Amino acid sequence: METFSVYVPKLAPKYEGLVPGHRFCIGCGEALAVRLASKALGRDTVITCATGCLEICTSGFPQTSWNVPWIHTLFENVGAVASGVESGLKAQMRKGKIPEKKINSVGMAGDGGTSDIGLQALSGALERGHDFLYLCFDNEAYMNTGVQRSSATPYGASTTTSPAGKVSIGQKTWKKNLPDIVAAHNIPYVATACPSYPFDLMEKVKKGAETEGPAYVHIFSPCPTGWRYPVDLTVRIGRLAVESGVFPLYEVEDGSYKLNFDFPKLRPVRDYLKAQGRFRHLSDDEIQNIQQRVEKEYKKLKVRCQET
Amino acid sequence: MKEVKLNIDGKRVQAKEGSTIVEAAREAGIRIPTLCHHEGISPIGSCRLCSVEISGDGKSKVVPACTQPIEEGLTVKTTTERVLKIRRRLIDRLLTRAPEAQVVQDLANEYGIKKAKTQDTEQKCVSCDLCCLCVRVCDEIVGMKAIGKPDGEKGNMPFLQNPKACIACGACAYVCPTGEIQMEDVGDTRIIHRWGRQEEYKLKKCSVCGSYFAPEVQLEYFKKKANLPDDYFDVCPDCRK
Amino acid sequence: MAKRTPLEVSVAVAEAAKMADVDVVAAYPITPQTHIVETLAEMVANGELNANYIPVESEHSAMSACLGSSATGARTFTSSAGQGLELMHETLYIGPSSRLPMVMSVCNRALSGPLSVWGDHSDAMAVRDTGWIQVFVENGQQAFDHILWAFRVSEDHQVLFPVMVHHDGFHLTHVIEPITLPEQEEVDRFLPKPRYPYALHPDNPVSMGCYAPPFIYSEIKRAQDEAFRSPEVKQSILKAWEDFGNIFGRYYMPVEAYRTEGAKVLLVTMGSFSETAMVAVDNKRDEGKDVGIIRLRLWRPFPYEEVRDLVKDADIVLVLDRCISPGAQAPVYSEIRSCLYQEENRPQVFSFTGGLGGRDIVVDDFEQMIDKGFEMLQNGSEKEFEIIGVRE
Ligand SMILES: Cc1ncc(C[n+]2csc(CCOP(=O)(O)OP(=O)(O)O)c2C)c(N)n1
Ligand code: SF4
Ligand SMILES: [Mg+2]
Repeated sequence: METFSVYVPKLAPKYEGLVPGHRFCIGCGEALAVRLASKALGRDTVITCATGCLEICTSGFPQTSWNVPWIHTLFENVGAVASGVESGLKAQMRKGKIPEKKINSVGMAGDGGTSDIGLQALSGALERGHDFLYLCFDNEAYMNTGVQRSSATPYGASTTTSPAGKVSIGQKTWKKNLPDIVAAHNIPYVATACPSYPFDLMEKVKKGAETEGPAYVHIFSPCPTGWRYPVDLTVRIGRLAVESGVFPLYEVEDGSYKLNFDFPKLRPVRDYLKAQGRFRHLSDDEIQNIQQRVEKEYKKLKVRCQET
Repeated sequence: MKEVKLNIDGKRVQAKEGSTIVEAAREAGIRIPTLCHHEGISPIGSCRLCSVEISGDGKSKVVPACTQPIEEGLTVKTTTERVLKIRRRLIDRLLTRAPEAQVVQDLANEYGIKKAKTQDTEQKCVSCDLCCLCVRVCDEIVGMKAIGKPDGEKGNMPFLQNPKACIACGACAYVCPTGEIQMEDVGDTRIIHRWGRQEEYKLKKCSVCGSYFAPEVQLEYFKKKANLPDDYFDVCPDCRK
Repeated sequence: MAKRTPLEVSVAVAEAAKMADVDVVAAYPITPQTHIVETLAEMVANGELNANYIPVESEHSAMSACLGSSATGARTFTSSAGQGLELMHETLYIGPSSRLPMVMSVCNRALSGPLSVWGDHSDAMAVRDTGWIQVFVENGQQAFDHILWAFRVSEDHQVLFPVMVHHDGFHLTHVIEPITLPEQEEVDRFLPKPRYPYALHPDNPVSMGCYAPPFIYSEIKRAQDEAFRSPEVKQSILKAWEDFGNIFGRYYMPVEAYRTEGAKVLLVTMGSFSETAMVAVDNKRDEGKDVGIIRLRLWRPFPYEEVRDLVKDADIVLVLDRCISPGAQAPVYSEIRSCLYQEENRPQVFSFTGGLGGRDIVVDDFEQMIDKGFEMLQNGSEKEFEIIGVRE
């Protein structure tokens, strides 16, 4: 899909579910991703949103940036609220209280709202088989509250609660592999995406929305504020993450893995790390350590793609 | 911009002056089926699936909703018996023309049409619905006019010869509603599948990272058009500093 | 014709939800609520109830799913108790502030620790200020009736607040009582189909649950409180009881008086123990003592007028709480006391706490409380509160 790069942008859906006038930081990758996702979802969509940058930047009372019906309640319960939205609509349609219509129930949350505090609600909703789509906008920390670490923060990143210091390299744990955890629920569709690959992202969101049963798209969302890079580099940072194998783009359809972008040779992770302030302190040895880990994980993924 | 009020299927709808019925309906969440329509390309109203019945001053007529501009006080009905009859006939014909196309099958399902009554034996292609979106996108958006118009008389496949001016940008594959045109990159080659042919285009390799990033014909065209230095595309955009 | 049948109260509550034709039930099992949700799940499984039963993975998610469901305009029901209600805590504030109607039956249970599955009102008191309309019922019939009543009030466009119906764990949930079940046609007459005006639907997009910066948070909260204590909400509550009485023949009030005429000593109770207390009052009246009882039904919004009115001629008010507020006054007591404080002839108010964690309070206990009241009437009292039925 991404190969459609030159003229196709003129043909992208003109519809905007998320309209200008929001309060995202300049260069926010999450804002870009949500905009693309809402183009792919179209009008017939109800969004359930978690607390986090997404909610704070789009909803300050009495204004809203949403053209689609949208509900925010709390931080950790998107999976459950979206379950309720889906069931409420389905039950009323079945009982003839509202007209039959395909309406996408879509949950949206950050990496914290998904892989930490919201994991239980998400797991429950996936396991129960609700017909809904969950989009995780992964900016690799609790950005809204000031760049604290989450379980999705990568190894070596300096955040406000995993600061790099004289005796610490910053985050000491490896990023939790959420797409794999979700895939372990045996749901029909899981994918990873990144707004630096806009058509791939829209295609996956659309596929997820059309899937019957639970679908999940994990969207890598570069954050200039928290990752400390110049605001005009968001798209490039996303591409570097994908091309270096740090964040591979793949799909898991009914259990079978497919790598959407494979490269003859992965770019060195150094190119990706060195572009960001949060990794600036890393020594050559640590970068080498990360390089090995990325290659190992990438290989594992490729084996899985061949096996399934 | 001025807003125009009209009534679609009993629902009061408001839309910008100059919109078409299809646009106003979509804005209001009312679905009118289309095949040859794409919001990024000028409408031509050729597939006629979007036929709707409009009425003002006591008379009513059937028009294609994708080209019909809205007017103040217009009443539109999108699912009258007259309209449905037209659509069913069209879908029946489409089932003969492009029986393999998913969109056509979905439409047939939706309108309860089981099997095409007529059979076109000389058919070379089983998905193309002759909507001409590819022809129009290549002309209007890309500017290459690489794909020819169909031979309307015989209802033949439009595109019997290799489109020589093609720069392999994929816009035609992107807009194709039936999946007749598809595109993929395999190693150093871009392949466009259309009308039973496989057209191959060599991809340019980045001298830094080694990945294949765009078709050579396309890069040559850009260089000429924008007067760029000869080595401009030796590196891919991601490696360019 | 309505029929009277022996039913476990939990089953009766489920039956009421079924007769209300709920669209969505999202619940997580917890003793003593389990029979309610099991019965509902069974009804759905047997096709007797056309609803989506969401077997959520926690109470937090139960209430969250209810919020989502209610926001789409679906008639939504859940039930919980004790720890479950506490796990919901954070989610409970959302319904009232977003004006989402729904009904929850709460099978009152003590709070850990130590762990206790048995009844008291600690769970109810912990959610006192969440902004839900809350009523306490005293027997199975009232439990059944108030589920129907609660939907009617909650969905009224003048109201649009969620409603909790509190009924005591075990003392009510697990007993079998003769319950009069109405005809479906009567229920339909009482309870019109819901038409939530702001439902989440693409035809009319709304943003729900926007955050409020300091410049407007106070205004929003004031608006919520004003609506909650408005005459319109009160009217709706009263009208629903009146219509209920007219159709089903059973009438209810925010505060119910029993033998209060000329009473110098008044007991104040809430929930199933009220019926035991009424027996004690009868006994004492037989002995010639001027004692009565007032039973609080409507707990939120608090019925200040009604309480003041019923208490105005009493000298001693004895309030029974089934909840402890460590280091402070018991909640119902403190509410009643503050309600009466501005009155010119305010009575003396005394606090009894008892019935914690399933401990019974029997007729004898109530008689002793009443005796203590009369003693106070004569000699006054040094103490302001006493915990009853506890071994030393
Ligand atoms: C129960 C609860 N705990 C903590 C918070 C504070 N909080 C709000 S948003 C947030 C972090 C959000 O992080 P993430 O989900 O990654 O979204 P982001 O802002 O990074 O997009 C936290 C900790 C809260 N609102 N609720
Ligand atoms: S902090 Fe990061 S994620 Fe949040 S709005 Fe700013 S750039 Fe976007
Ligand atoms: Mg985050």
